[in-house]
Amino acid sequence: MTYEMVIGLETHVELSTKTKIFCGCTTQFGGAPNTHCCPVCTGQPGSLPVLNKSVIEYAATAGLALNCGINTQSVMARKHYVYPDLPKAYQISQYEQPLCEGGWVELSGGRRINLTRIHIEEDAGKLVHQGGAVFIDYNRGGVPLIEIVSEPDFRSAEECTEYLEKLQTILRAVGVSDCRMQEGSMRCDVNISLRPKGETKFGVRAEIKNLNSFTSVAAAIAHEFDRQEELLSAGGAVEQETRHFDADTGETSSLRGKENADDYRYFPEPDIVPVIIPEDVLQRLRDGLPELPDAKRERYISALGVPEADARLLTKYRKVSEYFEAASEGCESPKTAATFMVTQMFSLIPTEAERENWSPAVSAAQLNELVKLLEGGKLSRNIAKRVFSQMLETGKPATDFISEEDMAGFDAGALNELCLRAVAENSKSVDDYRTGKEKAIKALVGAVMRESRGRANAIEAEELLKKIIAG
Amino acid sequence: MITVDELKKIAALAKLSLDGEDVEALRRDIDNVLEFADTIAQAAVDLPEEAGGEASWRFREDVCRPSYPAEEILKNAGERQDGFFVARQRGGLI
Amino acid sequence: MNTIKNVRHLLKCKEITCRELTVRFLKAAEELNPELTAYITLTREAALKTADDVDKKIQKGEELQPLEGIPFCLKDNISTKGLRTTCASRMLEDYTPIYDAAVWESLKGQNAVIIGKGNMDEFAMGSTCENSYFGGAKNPRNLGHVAGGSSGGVAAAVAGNLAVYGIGSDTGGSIRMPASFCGLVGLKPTYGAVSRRGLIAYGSSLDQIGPIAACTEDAAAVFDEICAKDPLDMTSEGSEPVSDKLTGSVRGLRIGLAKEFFDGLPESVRRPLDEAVDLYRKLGAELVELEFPLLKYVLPTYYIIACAEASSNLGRYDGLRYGHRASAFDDLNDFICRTRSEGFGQEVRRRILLGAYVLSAGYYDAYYNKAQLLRKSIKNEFSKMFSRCDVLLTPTVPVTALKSGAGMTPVQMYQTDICTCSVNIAGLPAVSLPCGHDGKGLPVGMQLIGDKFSEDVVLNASLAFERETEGSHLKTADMGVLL
Repeated sequence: MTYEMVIGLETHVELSTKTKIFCGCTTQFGGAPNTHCCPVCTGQPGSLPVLNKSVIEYAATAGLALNCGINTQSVMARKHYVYPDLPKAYQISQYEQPLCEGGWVELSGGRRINLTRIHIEEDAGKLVHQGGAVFIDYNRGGVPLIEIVSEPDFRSAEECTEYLEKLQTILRAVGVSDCRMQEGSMRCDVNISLRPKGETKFGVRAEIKNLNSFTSVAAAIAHEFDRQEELLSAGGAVEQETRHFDADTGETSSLRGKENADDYRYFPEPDIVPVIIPEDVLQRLRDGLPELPDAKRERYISALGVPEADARLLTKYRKVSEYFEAASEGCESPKTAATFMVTQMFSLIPTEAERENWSPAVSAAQLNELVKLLEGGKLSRNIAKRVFSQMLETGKPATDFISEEDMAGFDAGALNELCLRAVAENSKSVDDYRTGKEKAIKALVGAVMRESRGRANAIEAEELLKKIIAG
Repeated sequence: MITVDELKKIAALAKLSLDGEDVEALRRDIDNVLEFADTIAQAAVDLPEEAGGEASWRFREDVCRPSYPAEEILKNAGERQDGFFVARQRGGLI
Repeated sequence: MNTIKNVRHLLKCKEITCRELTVRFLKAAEELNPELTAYITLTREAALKTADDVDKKIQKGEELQPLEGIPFCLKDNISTKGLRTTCASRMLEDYTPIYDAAVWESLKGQNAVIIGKGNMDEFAMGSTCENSYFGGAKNPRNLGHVAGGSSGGVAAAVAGNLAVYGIGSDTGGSIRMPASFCGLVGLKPTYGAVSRRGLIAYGSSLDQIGPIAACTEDAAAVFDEICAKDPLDMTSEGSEPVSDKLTGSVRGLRIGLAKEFFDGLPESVRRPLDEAVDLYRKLGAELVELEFPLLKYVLPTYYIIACAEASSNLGRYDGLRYGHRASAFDDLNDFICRTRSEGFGQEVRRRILLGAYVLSAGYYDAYYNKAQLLRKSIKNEFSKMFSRCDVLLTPTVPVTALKSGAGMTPVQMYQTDICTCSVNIAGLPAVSLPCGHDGKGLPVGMQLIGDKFSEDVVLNASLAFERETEGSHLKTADMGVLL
């Protein structure tokens, strides 16, 4: 029997507010242990939480960007469990009335992953296990999180990772989170079950907690699929349980079964009044939403003529698209700046983290200047390419690398002369071309380009060469 | 009626050890209180429309306030080391 | 009798220096505390330092703020930076807070002289003050009886003249009951009138800080100094000061009497209340007969909500950041369980278990949810009553001060809150004031309940009674500092 996987994701994303959700301590990552703390975020007796306005605004903005309905009244609730990283023995979260409900994320194939809800909550502290002791640091405790809960709409690991990348792109674009998985500011729980293909009922699911990279998500799903498939194929049953994924072994193992499931004893947080978002605030947030990555990509393709693959790259990070828009500002063909970036810059800036930060040696204004020189006919495409790589190497402006000869241009007479010479000196290639080897013309074009030291226009040269050969 | 087993489950949830406790006496005590609490089951609740709107848009501005020095935060901790609170997996006589 | 007005006068006229005054209170407290257990901790250094500051101001001829230089007792569940705060629990026996409660900030800011931290039932759970890890506070009016709970030590300090006034907290009657047992005036303000920041939580939706004082004007004066809105307590609304509004006239005031509050009341408690009602009638108040059929559900509703919130609020005591620590354990979970079982007393453990039970899966709807619905119904019923009256008059407690060590079952103990806890459920203000004595000479308390933020109305009715009876029911014990 073949099985199909059914997956739902719960994604935790840290919001990039300046201060924690319930106190004025900084949310900065790191810091010496317990130095970003106060009585509120360490749960000192008698301390009271005071909700940060930006948390509500950021979370509502995330909801708007993900097509959610925003509840104008939501309620904070206490979720109880005991663990040393949770100083009050309850996490202030939302339960019955979350901030956002519904919503969806569209994958590249046009398929929509529906969202159940988004709620706000506080992060826990950090534990370091060493020997027989646990070292506790509450710097992260109280950092604001949103939990984005999807419907069980995924049918493959690829869909999951694409969705997560999409979330990253969107949340970064609207500026509510940096979504850095390696720093733990984006984490994911996977709920996965199997069912025979064609079956409509859901199987029993396992939950894999706290995955912190795309590769872990994919590997955990792959392992869990195999494990459950093996169980089911042997006539066994999957147990409803919480599992842990070990990134070193690539395997999942049971944390606790259903009978030991937590009883969180949720109830409305009496220390915090209901969260009311007035309509004018909501409208302000709606009006303040920047162009979202999908819309931007569509615009690059249809209005700016950027090829789809390039548009995808350019819209993945906010800083990259800002750079592109500045570099192509006032140009005849914005596509030119895109081509420079995609063909020459991205290879020098290979990691996702570097692309996210996007601080290349060449400024957008410098690239803009180069594109305009090219468009003004002052430079040939080939010279511009050479100049751009020199700029990338040194960070210096285009004019530093352009000689008078480069700027001299290349008139029709000179091109005609070089083409005639190329035909005369490369009889083999000419014969090949005549006998139908279309590609042989390229060798002739290459010769012309070499002779012109890159100043000739390759397309014009090819046309002229064909004309000469044809007689 | 609450059973001893249920009581043990609740104690585990509430993180209370029942060692040295007269569990049956405690069970009876709790049971008596629950019996008394059970009277609300008969109460008919007839609620009018919610008036609502008592909360308002009044939250804290996202402005940093100085945190406490770590030594203050750790002041009442039974065990601390290098700025961390410390919890032990084993201790004492057992 | 020591009142804020008298003591202020003595200081202003330089009849006594603040240091002399403070030393006398400290000395009396040191002498009497072994018997009374009114205080858990005496804060000698802080008191003397403040007293000296006050004396400097007096010497310079500077104006004194309303509570400046007046010795008082602060309940030991209110956070005081650098001053041990125990909640009368072994759990916090050695806990010294690193921050100040909002109320203590305000009082410290005006040089109120803190004599010490007042005894109480552990984590404010109890009606006798006998659930204190440090031993129960005795009733200064009769040492064989309890001071009442949970703010019993605060009331004992005021009634025993070991403080001029006190600050307590009230979750289901914890200010009003000891005030009633000790013959004092206790005000439980409207929920949200006084900041809870730094009040170590028992039932967060019910807790409120308020004064215990020798007379109505003192209670009003203290309330005025602690009722500022606090932006760091989201449930804080603040309130207008009330002292200037008190006229002492009840002409035309509609006083409601709901018969359910008086059902089964012993004659000794009933008689002084009947007399008080007659007196109000004589003073021109209009008496309105009302019904409060939900009263029979008030106690279970209260205990379900209070225990649920308590089980949550007390989860944080795991021995890691502060508080008692178990010394012998198998693993981290065992450490936490043993720490808590050793650190909490019996009643606290019982309420934590009850609270966890009523919130747990499968029981939530029958208990917690139903109690929340009843809470709304009870609020509605009060609203209806307040459309027909301005003030409700009830007994504070159906009994007078209990004998020490009476040994009641939990449910019997809970019954003593029957008249007080509905006020917390509905978040209303109420004052308890002495209105007479039972056959044994123990004070009987009368409770006046008002609509939200009508502290001025209830205190005014209280003042009218006090004036008409020429303060004859106001009496502190013949001990302590008699100025």
